[in-house]
Amino acid sequence: MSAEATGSESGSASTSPTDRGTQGTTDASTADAAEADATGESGGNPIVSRTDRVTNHWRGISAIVFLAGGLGVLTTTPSLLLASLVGVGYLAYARIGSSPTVALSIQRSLSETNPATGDEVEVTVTVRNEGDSTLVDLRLIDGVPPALSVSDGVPRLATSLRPGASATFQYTVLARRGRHDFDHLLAIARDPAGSVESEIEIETATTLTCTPSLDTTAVVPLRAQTSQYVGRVDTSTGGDGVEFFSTREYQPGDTLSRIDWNRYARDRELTTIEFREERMATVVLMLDLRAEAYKQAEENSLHAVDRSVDAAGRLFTALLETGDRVGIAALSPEDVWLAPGTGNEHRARARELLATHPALSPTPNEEYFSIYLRRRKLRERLPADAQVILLSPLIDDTIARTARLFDAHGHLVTVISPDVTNDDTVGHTVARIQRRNRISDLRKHQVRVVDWRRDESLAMALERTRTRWSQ
Amino acid sequence: MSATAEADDGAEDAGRPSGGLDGDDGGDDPDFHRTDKEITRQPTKPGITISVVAATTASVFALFGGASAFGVTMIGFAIFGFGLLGARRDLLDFGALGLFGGVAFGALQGAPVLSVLLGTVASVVAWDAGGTALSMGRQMGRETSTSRAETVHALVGTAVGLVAIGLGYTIYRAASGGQPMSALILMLLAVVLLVSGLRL
Repeated sequence: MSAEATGSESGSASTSPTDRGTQGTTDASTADAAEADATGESGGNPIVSRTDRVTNHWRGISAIVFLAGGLGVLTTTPSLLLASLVGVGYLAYARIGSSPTVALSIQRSLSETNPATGDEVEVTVTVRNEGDSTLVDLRLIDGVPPALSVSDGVPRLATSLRPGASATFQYTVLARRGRHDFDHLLAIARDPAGSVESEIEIETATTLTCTPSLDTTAVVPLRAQTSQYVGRVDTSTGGDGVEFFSTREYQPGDTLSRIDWNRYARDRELTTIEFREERMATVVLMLDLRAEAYKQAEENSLHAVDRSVDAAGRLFTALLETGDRVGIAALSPEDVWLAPGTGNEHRARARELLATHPALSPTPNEEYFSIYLRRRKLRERLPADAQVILLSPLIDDTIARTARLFDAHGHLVTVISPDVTNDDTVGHTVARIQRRNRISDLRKHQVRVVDWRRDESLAMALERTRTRWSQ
Repeated sequence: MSATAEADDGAEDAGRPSGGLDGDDGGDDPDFHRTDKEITRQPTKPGITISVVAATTASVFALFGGASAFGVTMIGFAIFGFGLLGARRDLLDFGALGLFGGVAFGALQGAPVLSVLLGTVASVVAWDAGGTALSMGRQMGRETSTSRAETVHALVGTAVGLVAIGLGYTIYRAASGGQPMSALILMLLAVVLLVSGLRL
């Protein structure tokens, strides 16, 4: 169809409920939970924009009129003249149409408004014709949020609705982290003949908020870099603690309770028992948010950043519960920094950061930034005793190098790497092999790497990898 | 070392390291979700079914005009089919004209009036449904459930044609006692004038 706008009659917005008055009333009912129901005397949700155009659907019908009419007159064939009359009938049918009056009320409901990352959310849209005329050809296209992908069903419907009738369509989206506002619903209504169509954007208010879960499912293996405070990370020094570590020669000043009296009874030598010291660790969770990290293994699966952020949430809580100090940083164009800390307030801050920080958006930020400067800035900020857990798909050498540099600068690094590689094409296989090489290279340089497979939970990946590590 | 230099050494030569790159096709197009990648922008199946049924009906009515009329219709049908399946509006138009051409040719061969009229309506309905299938497929995609809209549209179109036949045929019957041809021509003129009046 050509997008030629009809002249004066197309401006007949008076036929449509664009009246400002109704807009205000419905605005008030924009609830978070999805329902924007019909208010106002015109009925239906407020219309945001309306474009009328002629479709040229019947262009060429006059060919039949003139072909039949001309032949009929020339050959004096009554049946052809009558056929021409039928053509004229269609011509009239195509002409009398005017842009349809559209008043629709839309209810969009989600099976869950606060899903967890990766959940499937069923969206049900019910459209009701609140106008007085039948909409013979009504095409509805739902405004699925850009970051969500439809995993099942179709977010569109073409139907016809009598006044008061309603139609429903359903589809399923894959929940991604973040706050997702559903866009306006786009309705295209044609008059019965299909010669005029109105494209109408109808206001709806539905929001799907997906915050990363902060449940503790994983035991986070930490490296032996600790602060001076007592915690749960085993160190390789003897002192106060629970687990036996070593015995040493008695030095004046050692407490009596630590003296190995059995040994003294046996051979009259004073020795002191030392226990393994347990310390608190300071951990900074570092997210790889470069545009390169927004990779996914296949359509309709979570990309590496989504998985990383989800993992960061879990690690954060797990570490807080074991009494360690945790912070969050990111390699991203925007500055992301939450200094290591403890406590409930800290947890709330982290939760908010992970859910709403713009740098953690589900779509990549292509803005250029210098990873060198970002790295240097992070190094200045990191407390001297902090160890780093880097969450990255390890998709290029830059990030592997970053891991090694942090390690070399005295922050022991553990890389948790969601695997997003694939082997369906030669290029993908090469990328997969390169990533594996990067992992073994990092391991060779004493950087711990958790290869988090796609079909695996984080806890499983951590557990599986931990068995390889012998302290 | 600058970030670009670092970034270039890794995955660049590996082509596309992972399947769908979220950022690559989605990022810059704000209307990405409207033009979702899984939309098959092909004519819809209900529309194809309706228009093929209507075109077949037109061919059957063309049979009343003899074998040659049927042949013309078949050529039209073939072009129409190509237009429909290949989503080519121009072929669809010419094909529909071929369908009607066969019916008209049959009329010249002396086909019964009613068969000519019904053949005309059938070819118009086929053309209408085909055009709707094309536009529906372009806007909504083949996956969308469109049968209700397309069926209702086709039924309304058929009803309009049948009403036109009813009126024309009644007048023709009533007038055939006197001067059928001149009466018809005058009636045609009057109706054309009336319809051009509607345009204003």
